[in-house]
Amino acid sequence: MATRLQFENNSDIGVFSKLTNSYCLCAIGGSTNFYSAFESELSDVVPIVHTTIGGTRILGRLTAGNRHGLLVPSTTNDQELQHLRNSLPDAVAVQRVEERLSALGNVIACNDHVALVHPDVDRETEEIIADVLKVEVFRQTIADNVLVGSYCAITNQGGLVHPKTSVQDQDELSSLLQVPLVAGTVNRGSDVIGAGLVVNDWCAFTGFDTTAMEISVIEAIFKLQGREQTAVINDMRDSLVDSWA
Amino acid sequence: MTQSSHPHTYHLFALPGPLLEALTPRNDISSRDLTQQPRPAVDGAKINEPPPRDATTTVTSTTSGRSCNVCQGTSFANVDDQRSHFRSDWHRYNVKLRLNGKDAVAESKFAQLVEALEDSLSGSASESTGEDSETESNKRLATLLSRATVKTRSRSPSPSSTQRNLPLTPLTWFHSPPSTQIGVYRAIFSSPDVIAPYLDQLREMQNCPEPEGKKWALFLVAGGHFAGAVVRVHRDRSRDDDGGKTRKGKPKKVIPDTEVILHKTFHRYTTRRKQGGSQSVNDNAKGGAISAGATLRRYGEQALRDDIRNLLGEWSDEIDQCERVWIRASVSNRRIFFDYEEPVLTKGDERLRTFPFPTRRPTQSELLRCLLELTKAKITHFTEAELKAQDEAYLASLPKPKPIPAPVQPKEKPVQPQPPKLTKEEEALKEKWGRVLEMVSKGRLEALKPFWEKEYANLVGGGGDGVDIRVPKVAGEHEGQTVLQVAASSGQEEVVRWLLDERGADPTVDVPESSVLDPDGITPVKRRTAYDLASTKEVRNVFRRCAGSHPDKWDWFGAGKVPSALTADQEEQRDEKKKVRRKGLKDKIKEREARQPASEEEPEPEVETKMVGALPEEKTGPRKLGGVTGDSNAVLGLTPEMRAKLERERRARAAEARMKALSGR
Amino acid sequence: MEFVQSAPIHRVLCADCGTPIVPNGANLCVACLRNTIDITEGIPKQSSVAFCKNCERFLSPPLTWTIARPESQELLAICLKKLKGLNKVRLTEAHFIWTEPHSKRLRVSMTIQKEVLTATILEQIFEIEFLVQYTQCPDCTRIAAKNTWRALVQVRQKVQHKRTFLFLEQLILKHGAQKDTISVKEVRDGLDFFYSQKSHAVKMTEFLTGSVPVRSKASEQLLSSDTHSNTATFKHTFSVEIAPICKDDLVCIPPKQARSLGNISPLTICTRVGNSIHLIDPQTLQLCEVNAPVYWRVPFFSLASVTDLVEFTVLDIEPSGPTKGKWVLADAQVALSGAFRSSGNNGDDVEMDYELASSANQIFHTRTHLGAILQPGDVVMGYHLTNTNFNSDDFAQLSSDRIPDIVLVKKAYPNRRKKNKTRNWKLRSIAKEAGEDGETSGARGVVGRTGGRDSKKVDLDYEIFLRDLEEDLEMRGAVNLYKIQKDEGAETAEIASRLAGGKQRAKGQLDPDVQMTDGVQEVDEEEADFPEVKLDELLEEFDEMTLQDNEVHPHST
Repeated sequence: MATRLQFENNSDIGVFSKLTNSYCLCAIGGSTNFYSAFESELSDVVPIVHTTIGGTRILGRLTAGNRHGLLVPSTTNDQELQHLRNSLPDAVAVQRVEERLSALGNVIACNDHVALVHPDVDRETEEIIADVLKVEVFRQTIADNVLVGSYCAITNQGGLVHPKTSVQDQDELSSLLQVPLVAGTVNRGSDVIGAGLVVNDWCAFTGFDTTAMEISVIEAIFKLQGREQTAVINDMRDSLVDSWA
Repeated sequence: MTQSSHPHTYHLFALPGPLLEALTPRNDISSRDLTQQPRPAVDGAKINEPPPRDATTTVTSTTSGRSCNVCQGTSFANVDDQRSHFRSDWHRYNVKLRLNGKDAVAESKFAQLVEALEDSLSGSASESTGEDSETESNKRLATLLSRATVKTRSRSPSPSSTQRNLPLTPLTWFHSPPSTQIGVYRAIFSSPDVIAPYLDQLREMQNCPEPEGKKWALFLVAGGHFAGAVVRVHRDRSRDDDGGKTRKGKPKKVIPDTEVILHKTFHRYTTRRKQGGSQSVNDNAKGGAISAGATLRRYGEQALRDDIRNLLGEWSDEIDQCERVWIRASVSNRRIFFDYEEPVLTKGDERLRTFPFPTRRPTQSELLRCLLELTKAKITHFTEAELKAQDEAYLASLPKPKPIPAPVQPKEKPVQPQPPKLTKEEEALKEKWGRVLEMVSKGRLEALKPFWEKEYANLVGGGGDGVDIRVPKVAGEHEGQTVLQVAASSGQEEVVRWLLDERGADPTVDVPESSVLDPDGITPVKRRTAYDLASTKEVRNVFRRCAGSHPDKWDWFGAGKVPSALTADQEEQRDEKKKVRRKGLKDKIKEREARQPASEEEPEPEVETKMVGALPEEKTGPRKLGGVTGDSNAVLGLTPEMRAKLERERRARAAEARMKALSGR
Repeated sequence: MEFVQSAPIHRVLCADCGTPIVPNGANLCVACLRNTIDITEGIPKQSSVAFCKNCERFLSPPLTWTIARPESQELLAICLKKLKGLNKVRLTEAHFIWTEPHSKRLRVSMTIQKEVLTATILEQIFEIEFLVQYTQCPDCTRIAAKNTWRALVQVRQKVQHKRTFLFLEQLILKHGAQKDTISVKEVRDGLDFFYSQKSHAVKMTEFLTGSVPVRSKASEQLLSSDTHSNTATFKHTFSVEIAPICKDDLVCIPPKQARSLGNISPLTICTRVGNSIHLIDPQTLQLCEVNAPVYWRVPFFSLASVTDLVEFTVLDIEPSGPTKGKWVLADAQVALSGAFRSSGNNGDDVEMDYELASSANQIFHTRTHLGAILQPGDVVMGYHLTNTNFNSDDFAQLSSDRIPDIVLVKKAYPNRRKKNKTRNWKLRSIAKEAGEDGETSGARGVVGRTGGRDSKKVDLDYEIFLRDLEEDLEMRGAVNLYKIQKDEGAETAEIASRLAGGKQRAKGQLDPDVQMTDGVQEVDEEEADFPEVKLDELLEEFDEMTLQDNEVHPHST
């Protein structure tokens, strides 16, 4: 199920929230609609944490995480860090990262097994990512963009990448990630996937501008409709590749 | 055919016997030999690989996702390969290149780049170029081949001089006839520089002499991290079966050989965050920082060093048994292992090796990876024709060899090692000669006289030449010249006079060829004497005066090359003449101003022309200041600075003369 | 045969309709983009252009009227200027669609581009219809209407020369006071300035009051009146009279007046005319300032003016102490310039000549305020009072012993003047009225344009005025000087040579000796202290300064 929502009249909800299989982060200050959308979908399953990161609300772009852990930038203050540790399940490791590229959400894209990172990320950060998130780390670009976190959204089921990602690159990435990928858009043609979409293995939230067509692509590739996996892939392939080959 | 999916499982010390039999060093199979050589009768058992891999290669590169779009021409057999490729430095480098809008480089090119980098960084003369570096675990076919080509050329038995300069790769390759190649790190062999016995050694390695098995020690130190281990890389195959008890429940076939006996890692805070580099290096470069962090790091370095040394001490027994000791450490970190009292390892230890490939942060897993990398035999499958073609392609891609300044280097080499060889006496002699030469060239006659009297015997030594002894090599630049020549060339007339008159120095001694300074590349006159070296007229006059006063002592005009003698009478006459002429000139002094100093410069033009007979006649005519004067010959052997100085002096003198003439009016 | 799959083409689904498309900036298919976004929004689809039927010119907003052929570039530019929203889009192409001229419609087809969403540029072609509206341009209105002026300023100065007006013209130009002037007309003794509104005329009058000593009188003439609405239209006339005293004039103040002005000696020289008249007594350096009301209460007139100046040579000068500003009182010995020139000519006859020359060779002693300026050997202009008769009661009342023989006024630079050096600067002028091109006298613009009777005199006045400018830094500060452009050089040289000719005549009038003694002055060097006009005082030329530039018209005579 993909839900459309807005944060203070802004469709870039990926900026203001973070969703993984084990927790959800929400920025403080949005209208209650924003929370309640998350609440209604997730409240029984994962904790929803209201927080700021370094006093800002753009936590979706500043943090990176998956089921195993959460990475926060060096700008995070101790209070916030403590709050996060208190609110998140014990199994989730919270780690502050001293990284020059401090918008971790923009430079890291990950699911529970693999992470793609900006090619310029420190080696130490890379190791921290590997240790905390328990993932294999690859320095990659997406459609020649270094901000891998901004231009793709990946889960254990599938991934949506920048619309300009070539078929070869999609193949390469998908074999690297071992999940099916599709190039697509959110928020009615926006290529900043990470900003318009937060997704985990069973639900997705998209910006308010996202069209039905985009939602159908999202639900298909992230397998949010309970459809059978191969059918989804074939479906996508049919519409995207084969008929145009 | 099943092997194709697991081509890398050969342990270095457990190569299958048949394969081992068939191996020939790759360099021996030069392309010519290959074609002529009849195909060895190989049965299928030997070649346990599917013959050509190219069919699958092409398929993967085009259709499957198991390829890399950044690094062209790569494809992978499985996802693990692909993943390791995506983690490789080569791939990362190419990603960055592509982001900067440049083309990706091939792996071989990248290897060269890394080597160049390592060379410039390390600065320590490593044992062989082959050990320098290698890209990590990339085993792709095409790149391997090109690497193999490098090695072949550089190690071919009769290489031309240009080919000798080809970079050695850290891997050495063995070929098993139809299409199997095995690569082994050169550093593993006991004498990495000598090529020939590799194959023998490889075969030797298969059977273990010692009961304990072969042990290696590996140490990695970087950025405050340390990882060390002692591993058993090889145990006797015969004992292997009953040795199962040490490795409990491990399937025999999978990892038959390596076993970590001891291991230890620790970490201290030593590197400067964000800036990088260790604190001590920074302290040495910029002076000690006084921040709390700096103090912490200094402590951390100290502690790390102590930890490592203690550990080495604890392990000393095991280390002594080791066949190889692999160390990865920067220059400064290396000293941790060696520079202390009674070190476990010594610098010149035969067993010491550096890792021939880049390593990452010292961790336990990295240690294991390195070990695996070292002990795993790299395997490629190319047909001989392919090999040949790729050899040629690689050769063509190599940059044209530069003209080698080979003759120069040997010349330099013998000079350099000299200083350390000096004995005490030589040292003293050198110092004395240095003082003499300085006094001579600076014209400190008062100091020189007593010094010469005192040290005469020492300086001259056993040689019977007396004052005409040539300056020994140790004294540096004036090597081979006599004291007289030195004095003449530095224009010290007093010294020259003293040497000629009182010490009876020989003016006919030749100037050695090598000491003729020849900055302009003008070929020196065939034979030159002290007179020719004289830099000023005064000095030459001293020679001529001495020739006048002791005409019989030496062959002044022949061997000494002094043009004519100068007696007191002549000098008087000359002065007289000068006076007369000056008087006559007074009226026209203004017009003649330019000419006057020139004629002063050469009061005896006839003499000068005689001397430099080879020079054109026009020299005698009226000339402008600063033109080529008669004593250009003397100037010839001088440095440009000296010449400028002379010239300035000359001009000053001319100006003085002019002033005198004007005021005398 | 194996099926070879061709390389898949990369497509994404359009966000709106789901059609597979090649990814673009908006990631929408063209049809969806078209449907949702209109980039011509904000651009009017209809507009109008103003056209003057009389002169067949189009109004190019905001004020200019230009002649434009149908379907020409100019017309297109005018049309596009009329469209408001065009600055928000990128115009790539525009052209006319043919229409019948009598349809009074212009149709323009244009192609515009605009960035929509992010990094998506849409292009659209559309048409705009312009309505040609007939109007009358102001120029035509002026021609058509009879009495367009409502106010008139008559400026008068009752003196022989026109220099004041020349200066006034420059002053007006510098301050832009001519801006609202409809036209300027030269009349005897002055100029008439015409205005469309009374306020403009009042402004001009105030300007004049502020810059020169004037008295003014306003009068009005009733044109029409409406008794019902109690409104009336008038023509206003302001008569402005400028005090007839100019710089360097010799003035004899009526004794009574002199006493009231700080008991100054009646015989004074005017040093400057600004808002008030500045007078100096050269004998005592006493200064006084006569402002306009004081002056006009008891007007007095100048005894002699610049044209009456005689050239003297300074033989000796000795400062006698008092100084006041730049003036230094000094005792000077001077002789008429001619006296020594002739002696230089034939050295043997010195004494003979000296005897014969009588008063011409006489050495005069006088006090002068030019002590700081003059050096022995300098040439100085002064009034020769002993051999002049003045028709003035006030002068006659002065006791003869209080009258000096001569009064020195200013230093002259005859040698400098002799060189036909072209000036590197020029002045602007208020344009003359249209249709007067033919019979003007050239360079001076509004003043002296009538030619005929006194054109030579005006030439002379203009030259004197220019010299004054050159020699007087203060005066120069009040006007704008312009650099002469390179291409104008040739023409101005011509004018300069003509002026030089006039100057030669001027010399004749100023100093009768010049002609005959010219030959012997060759050895004289240029006066070193000649006040050059420095280049940095000059302004670059701006064409909009005048309505029309008529400075370089060839001289018609």
